[in-house]
Amino acid sequence: MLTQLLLAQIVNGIVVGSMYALFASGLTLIWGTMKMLNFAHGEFFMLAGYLVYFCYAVLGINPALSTVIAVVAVFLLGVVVERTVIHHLLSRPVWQFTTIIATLGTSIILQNLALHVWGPEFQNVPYFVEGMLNVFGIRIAYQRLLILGVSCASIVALWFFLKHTRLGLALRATAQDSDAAQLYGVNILSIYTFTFGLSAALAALAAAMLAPITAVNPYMGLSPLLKGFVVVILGGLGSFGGAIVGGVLLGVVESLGVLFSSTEWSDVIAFTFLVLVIWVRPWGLFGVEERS
Amino acid sequence: MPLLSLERISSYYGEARALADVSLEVEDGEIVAVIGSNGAGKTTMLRTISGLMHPRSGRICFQGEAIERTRPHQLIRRGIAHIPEGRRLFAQMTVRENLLMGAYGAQSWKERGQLIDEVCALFPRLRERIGQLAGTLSGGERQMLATARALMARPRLLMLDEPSLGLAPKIVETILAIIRDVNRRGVAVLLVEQNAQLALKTAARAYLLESGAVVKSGLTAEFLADESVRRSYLGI
Amino acid sequence: MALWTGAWSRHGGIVAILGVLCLVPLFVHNPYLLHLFILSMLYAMLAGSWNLINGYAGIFTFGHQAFFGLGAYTSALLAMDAGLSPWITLWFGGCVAALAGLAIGLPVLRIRSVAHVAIVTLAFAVIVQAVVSNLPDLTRGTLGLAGIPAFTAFALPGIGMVSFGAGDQVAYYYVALVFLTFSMAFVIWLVSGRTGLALKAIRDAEEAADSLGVDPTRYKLIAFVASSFIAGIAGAYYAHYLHILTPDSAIGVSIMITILVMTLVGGVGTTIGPLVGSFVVTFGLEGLRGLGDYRLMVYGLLLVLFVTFAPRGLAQLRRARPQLVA
Repeated sequence: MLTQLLLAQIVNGIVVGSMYALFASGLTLIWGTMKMLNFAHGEFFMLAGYLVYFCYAVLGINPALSTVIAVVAVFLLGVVVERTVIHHLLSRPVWQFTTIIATLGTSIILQNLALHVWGPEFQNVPYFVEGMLNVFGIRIAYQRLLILGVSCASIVALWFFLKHTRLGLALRATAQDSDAAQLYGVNILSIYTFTFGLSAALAALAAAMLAPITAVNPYMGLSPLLKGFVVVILGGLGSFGGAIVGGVLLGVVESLGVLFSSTEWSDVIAFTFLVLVIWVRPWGLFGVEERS
Repeated sequence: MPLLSLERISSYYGEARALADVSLEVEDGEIVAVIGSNGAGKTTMLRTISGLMHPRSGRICFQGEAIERTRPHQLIRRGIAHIPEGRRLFAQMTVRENLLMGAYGAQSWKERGQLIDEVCALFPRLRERIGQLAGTLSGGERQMLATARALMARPRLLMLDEPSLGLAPKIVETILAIIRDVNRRGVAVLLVEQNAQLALKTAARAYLLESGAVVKSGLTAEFLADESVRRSYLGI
Repeated sequence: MALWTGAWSRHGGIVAILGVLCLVPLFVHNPYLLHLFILSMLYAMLAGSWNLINGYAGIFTFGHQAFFGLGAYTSALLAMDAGLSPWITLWFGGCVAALAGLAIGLPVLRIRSVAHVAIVTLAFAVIVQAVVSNLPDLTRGTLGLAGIPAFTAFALPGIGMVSFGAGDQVAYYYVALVFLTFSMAFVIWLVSGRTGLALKAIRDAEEAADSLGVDPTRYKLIAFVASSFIAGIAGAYYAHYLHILTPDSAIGVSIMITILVMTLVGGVGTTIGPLVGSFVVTFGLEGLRGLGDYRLMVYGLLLVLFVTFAPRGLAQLRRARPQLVA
């Protein structure tokens, strides 16, 4: 009985973790190319959640289309935010600081906008697919399997995009050496805008998948953002693989942790773990050591 | 009309002047050398030409068009390839991917494949290492890759910043031979070098930069005959 | 010493503002307005202390609220549970905050990346807030501490007894002003002296400073500990002024956001910036009374607008050309 409980929790952990991975990979993508932290990432997540709620739960549009709408809309929002708020800061001094402030400000604006438009209540989004699968006595909701499927497909698609397309190549080149990328024809300003939008789209996809499980409210982006930071630092800022592994790891640890202690302490445990890791290995588990 | 001309270019880092009224010309198919000691402004000059920096005053013309305000990514399309100081390869990409980046502007993957074949004919060593990460290559191989990457863009003008830095003389010879070969096929070369001897051996004309200004220009034969140049830069 | 007195003459603006503040209670009697003044002064202390490490040492931390909260809770709990006078527990609050500053400073200062520092310090503050919230036996948890004792009365020659009861706003005001003045003086002293020059050198070119024999870590640590100490004192005062504390009001992220807004608006890296910023933001928001609900959104807008158009804050308007300020 205990092993079944453990296995069930591990499976749940992997499922939720895969969404953390998607969310975190967006953060790490921005860091890798633009060398900045996006504090508004959680709000892209939140707004996508509301869009899915609105499209699916309120308007009754089928979940697949609702997801597509949310992802595309948030991608566009990401592009707009980058162009209006971030763009000009990147070429100015202390951009690492100013971009944090600017994205933080954007996050506050978006969050409070949502609060005033929709109110603080939790909105429920029905499962996309009903029913449970019974495997070796473990019951897994089909919704969770769907999430797992979508996340695997997305991660593979993302990997393929980065490795085998011209744009993906340009993105990686910009991340590794933006001067050299420019010299060989990459318009890095456009890359920045695209990367920001892509990152927002990843957060949106994660939100669309998680919305039926976690319910939608204006503050739903905070916790993923904090956890997202933990994941990217642990995995190594800029490491795509690190974000994936870190995300799944966090999901599993959290899931198992809930069995042994209360949820309030899970955040504390995650963060204390983070501080300790940074102390020992500032560049994270998979990151590239920055030679100063 | 020269292929490339700089007219009284002045560039600044903040308030510090790095280039002072620099004028320079490169004709079609020429090899021109720019020599000078560390900090003379040679790298700054190349960065200004390729658009990574904008000059505060002066004009830069390439094939008759003013390019001093053009953004760097547009210049490769026009035919200027810049191999920066330190090579600046994409270390976490494979040799193949680095070459592909050279042909970023190409029209099709087929064309890129063809270009890779052409370039690997010039640098067979790269064909052997085609799947390896660029960061794991030796110094000489890196310079080969950097040169090959630039050639993938089919440039009209190739600008090299200190290609000999950190390399054994034999490897430098190989690279220079390839550059001369490429030049024979019609690519103009602007060679920036701290190793004056090497530069003057390879080029037809030269400029000497000191503290951001051109203090001497002319045929390399004149340079080699000049007493002060021989003493300061050739160690003779 | 000469450096210091010279600095005071350069900081004429600060002296003028403090002078005006001395006179305010003579003309302003509305207790609510006085309350706003007191809050502004506390925030000026807090923002000023944050500015010490960010604006001067160039370390962008995101968890300063933790020191404020630690100072507040330490002082409050000691006064309530150990029965000590708030005049004494206040200093304990500062010391505990300073110790925390030392504890978090040591790992953080080894990190060069702005992003890492921001996230780690944020994580630290979240941990502190979570711990305080989840130890209800000690801290009354999320419901908060109520009934925190006020400062004990004392006799002042020529004025008589100074008490800190419910109607004694003016007493609280002057005590806050005294603390503010001392903390500003301390910051100015730190910044004008050798430590300050070292910090500026470190901020502007760490490797160069390092090669000149300036030990960056030592100076950053001094700034860190000093900054957290001041924040702790401000927090302790806050506890004994409001008599109520909750984890959210004392250690919440909104405190950090407020610090950011005030420092940005006033001018990062200037001593007068946080002082001006805290008053402008506090009273400005009051002026826009109808936007009370939208306070946070206004903060967000201010952050974006200022960082884009006036990154040096209001302080830059006084200067002909932007320069690294003292």
